[in-house]
Amino acid sequence: MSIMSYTGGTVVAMAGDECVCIASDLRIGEQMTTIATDQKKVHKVTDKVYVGLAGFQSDARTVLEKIMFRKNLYELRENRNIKPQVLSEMISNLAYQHRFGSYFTEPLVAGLDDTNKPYICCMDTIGCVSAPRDFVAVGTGQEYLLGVCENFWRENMKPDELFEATAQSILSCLERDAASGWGAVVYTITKDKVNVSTIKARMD
Amino acid sequence: MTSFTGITAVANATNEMAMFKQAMKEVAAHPEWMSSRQIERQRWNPYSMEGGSTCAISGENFAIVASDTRMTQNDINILTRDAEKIQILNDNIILTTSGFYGDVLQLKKVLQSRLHKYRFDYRSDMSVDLCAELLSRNLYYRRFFPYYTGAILAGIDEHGKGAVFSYDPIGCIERLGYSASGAAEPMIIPFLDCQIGHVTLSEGYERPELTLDRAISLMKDSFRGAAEREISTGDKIHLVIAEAGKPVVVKFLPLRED
Repeated sequence: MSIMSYTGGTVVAMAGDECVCIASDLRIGEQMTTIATDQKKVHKVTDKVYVGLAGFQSDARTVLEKIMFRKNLYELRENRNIKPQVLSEMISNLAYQHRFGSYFTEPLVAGLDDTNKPYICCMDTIGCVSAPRDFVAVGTGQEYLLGVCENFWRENMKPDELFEATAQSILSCLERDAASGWGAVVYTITKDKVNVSTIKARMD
Repeated sequence: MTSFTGITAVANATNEMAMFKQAMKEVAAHPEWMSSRQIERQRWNPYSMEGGSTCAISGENFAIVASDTRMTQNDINILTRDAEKIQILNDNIILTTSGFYGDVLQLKKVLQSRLHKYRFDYRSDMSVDLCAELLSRNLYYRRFFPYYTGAILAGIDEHGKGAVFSYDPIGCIERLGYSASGAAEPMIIPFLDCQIGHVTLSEGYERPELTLDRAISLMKDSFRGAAEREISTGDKIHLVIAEAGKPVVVKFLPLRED
């Protein structure tokens, strides 16, 4: 079994019309054993920028601390909020600095920039960024998610539609991915508020 | 006294050549510069995977089966754009298989000949339930050198209801409402879970009925979604529709070709 699927977990993000949705499951495991059922893999960076870290959760924690450190330093030096584009570049650089001994985590960035344009991107473990206009997924349930998202995503979805599409996608994924589950948390980021919903899913 | 030296020289040379050949053979069999893992990797493998995906949905009085028609080598090299993975065994049994194409063809042949013999012995067509059991046993018969295929058997059972049977390579059988197998299985299955199984819908909500038209459009959607992301799936959808009391309909629908 690969280290990338040791703890399990899945993160997905979808872009809409002046809004983005980012969701993750809540399970942490040690291979087949479930250790915790309340671990969000999505973290707040600024009011409108969130980062998701799938993969090996021990590394994910370390990477999160490094991300927060660099983001704080950036905001102190520049005296402005960090844009999602900048943050993803920063994380990409951080990941590539460890090119030959990488952190086993795949980061995902979702947020709105200062013109409220949605931005989503995902990376591999060494920071190769892919920023499509529709949706991204990382983690053990990636394949399951991409299949469903491909059918649910439409152009210019409003926040409530976007939430529904994201929630349905991750729930369908959790149905089949044994390494993720125990509920999901969905963040809907719009220009004036962030809506957090915890959704019940299979408990096995 | 000097006349025989030529012959011994030739004899020595032949002997030397034989020894050289022997040494070459030995070193080819046990190359010392390669790790055991490298040797393992280069060894001949009786199996290969030609990609592609198949899917089947059953309803109250129908069963539909679809597969793509692409055949690939090493997931990137397209061997043909019209390889058929669906076999209509008789008016109410359809077999669809993906995986190792050699075994796909062999499995099809084996079932065809068994059905032919059944027709000869009993003067009637086999029912889908019987065929499902037959296929399971045929797969398990090869327990230790399996057919490297994910098979799905679909059709109309004796009561006129749609049936889908799903198998693993060694014949573990399950009757399901819908099933998928092949490279894009993880992309198709959760979508059908959501749309047909309604697993993400809370209790108390109205569930739309699964009509033939809805099943066909879901099938098209799932293959379009799969072809978008999975590179060994594409080119055409080969769609077979079996409805109780009606002849089997075969359709080809376009899909991504890149």
